[in-house]
Amino acid sequence: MSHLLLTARLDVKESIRAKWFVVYSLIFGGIVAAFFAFGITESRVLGFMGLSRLLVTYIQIAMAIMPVFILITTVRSVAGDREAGVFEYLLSLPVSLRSWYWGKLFGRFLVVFLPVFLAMAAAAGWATLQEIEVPWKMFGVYTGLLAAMSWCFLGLGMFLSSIARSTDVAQGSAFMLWLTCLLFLDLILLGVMIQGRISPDVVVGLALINPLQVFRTGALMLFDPQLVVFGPAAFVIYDYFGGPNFIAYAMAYPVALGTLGASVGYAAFKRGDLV
Amino acid sequence: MRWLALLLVLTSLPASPREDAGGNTDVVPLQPLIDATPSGGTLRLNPGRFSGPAVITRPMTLDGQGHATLDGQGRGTVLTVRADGVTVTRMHLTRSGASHDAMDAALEVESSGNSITHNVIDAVLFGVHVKGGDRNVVCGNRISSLEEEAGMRGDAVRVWNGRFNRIEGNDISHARDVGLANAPDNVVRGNVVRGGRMGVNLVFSPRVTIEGNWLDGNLAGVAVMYSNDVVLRGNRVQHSMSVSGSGLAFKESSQVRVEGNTVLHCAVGAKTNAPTDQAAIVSFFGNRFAHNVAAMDFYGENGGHVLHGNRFEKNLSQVTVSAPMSARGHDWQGNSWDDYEGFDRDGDGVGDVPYEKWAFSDRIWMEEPRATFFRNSPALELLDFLERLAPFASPELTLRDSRPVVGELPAGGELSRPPQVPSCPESVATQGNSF
Repeated sequence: MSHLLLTARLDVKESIRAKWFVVYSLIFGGIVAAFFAFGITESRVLGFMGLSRLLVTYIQIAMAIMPVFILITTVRSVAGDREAGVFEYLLSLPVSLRSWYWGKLFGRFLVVFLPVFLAMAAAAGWATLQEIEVPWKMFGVYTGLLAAMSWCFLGLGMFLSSIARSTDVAQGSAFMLWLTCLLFLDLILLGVMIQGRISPDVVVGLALINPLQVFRTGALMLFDPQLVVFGPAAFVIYDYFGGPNFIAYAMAYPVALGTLGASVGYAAFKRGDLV
Repeated sequence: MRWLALLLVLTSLPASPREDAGGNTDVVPLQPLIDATPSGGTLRLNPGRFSGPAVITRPMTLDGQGHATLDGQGRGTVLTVRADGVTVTRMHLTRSGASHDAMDAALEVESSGNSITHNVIDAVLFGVHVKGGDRNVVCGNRISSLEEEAGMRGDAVRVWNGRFNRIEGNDISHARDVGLANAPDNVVRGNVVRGGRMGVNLVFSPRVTIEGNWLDGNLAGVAVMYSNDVVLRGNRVQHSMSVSGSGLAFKESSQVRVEGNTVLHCAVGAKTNAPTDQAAIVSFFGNRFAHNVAAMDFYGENGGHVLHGNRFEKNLSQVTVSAPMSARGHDWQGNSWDDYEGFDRDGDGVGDVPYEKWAFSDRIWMEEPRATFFRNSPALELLDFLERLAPFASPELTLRDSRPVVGELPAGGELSRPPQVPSCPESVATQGNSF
């Protein structure tokens, strides 16, 4: 087995033993269970009920929680190993830095994405048993969007972890990145848009650099294809992208951003001082 | 004598396209057959393809018996009716020209007291164009337009400068509008209109009744502009989900009565401008607004509209306004609100405290529509939460219903399925003005 796969397997094993993984899995599994228990599939919003209604709510919660979980747990990996002196040990082993770094990334991707996906899959399975119609197309696109978002924040987390000199700095930076994506960037752009000094096209364009906003828009497009909820800004998105193209962008852009972050992080990690 | 004999034959025997040895039918021009039909006669066409354009200039019945096609060959209007008391029934009318300037149509009716029933109309720009005619019945037809984007198609039925016409029980899909312009006193009843621009579009058409129609997936359901004393009753409008669309829209129209309609899953349930004077009000009684992005949207600053006994269920926003006073000046009473936060301890069916809507940070996107992009985003939700928790500025009251109904309001004759095609009159020539 290649070193990359061995490292990935090692990371998966370590993560599964860790408490954060238990909490992370319980949260997403618990959300789905709570949705069923409290009858959210029986409620309606904008004509969506059943599993579509559950997925709409689930995706909103995943958007808020998932990035911070991924960032906080990932940024500890490189910086934490550096602090724990793992690299000194690593240098004595016949494992390349490349295998170690990317193996860790792939292993971590499985660990962060699978609980979220399995919770959704369990919801679909339970719905099938309960004879609730499963919107498979929506399920498939949501899965793609979640995978893209996981990869994006994983890559950004590895980047922060590689350039930070300590876990404290890495965690602080990760938290700031999450807050920026979730709140600060939108608040700034909201202010700019209200002032009206910059064209709305530019503001919407800047907002769509934010991977969380891209994810939100892509997910929204599935149950509101005309993006009516966005008001006139919908025209900007449709003029520049069109519906199917935006879904493709919502998957490709976060993956590209995550890959870029991880690659830059790898370059910093490779050239940096390991001990 | 020879012509008289021919006329007798034509009025008694079906006209038929010629058939060659291979069973292919030639396209026979229809105009000579029409010209040979006497006034008051019936021209029954056998199955086959006839060529247009054609013009009817005397009272007669043209009956395609469900299998005759009149092909306009892409030139102008397929069939024009210039005489009163004509019946066109069971025809397939197809392939008009595509000129908006000439208003190329399947059927142009320039006269009164005609009956257009049970025809199939497709691949035409406009469907039935009633141009200056009264007391016509357009009933039980199946109509679709050209494969263009909605705004570039023609109206399925258009009435211009005509009164006492009835548009009933038509099945319309992928056309532009059912449009009435300068056309008072008409009735639009029991039609199914799908996938068009506007289900029904009134401009300068007072005293029109729009009743029992099923309007599904149009960019807008019913638009009433500059038309007074209009009645909208028992219609079902659903899935009008374009950004600029709405289920019902009213502009500069007085004494409009909107009752017992169901408006589901639209971008805006009903959009109304402020009354321009005290009489220019729209009254909403017993309507149901459910699963809309915004149930009602008001623009302008005067109050005065009347809203009694309506149900508001599972809308993302119940009411949006262009200014805080746009909605609170209306007469809200006895409506049912699914987000009412109150009790009915005396059990009289009326909430113990008024239903009130206050605008917090949602004022941002109501006052600056471009900022709607951030609506329901975590940033704006957080702002809204903080505003409610510890307001930095006084929130604005947007509406107050002093007697909110708690519990179920009785359903007001809602349509639960598309209306069936009615039995249409064979001829209206002898009916006279029955309105």
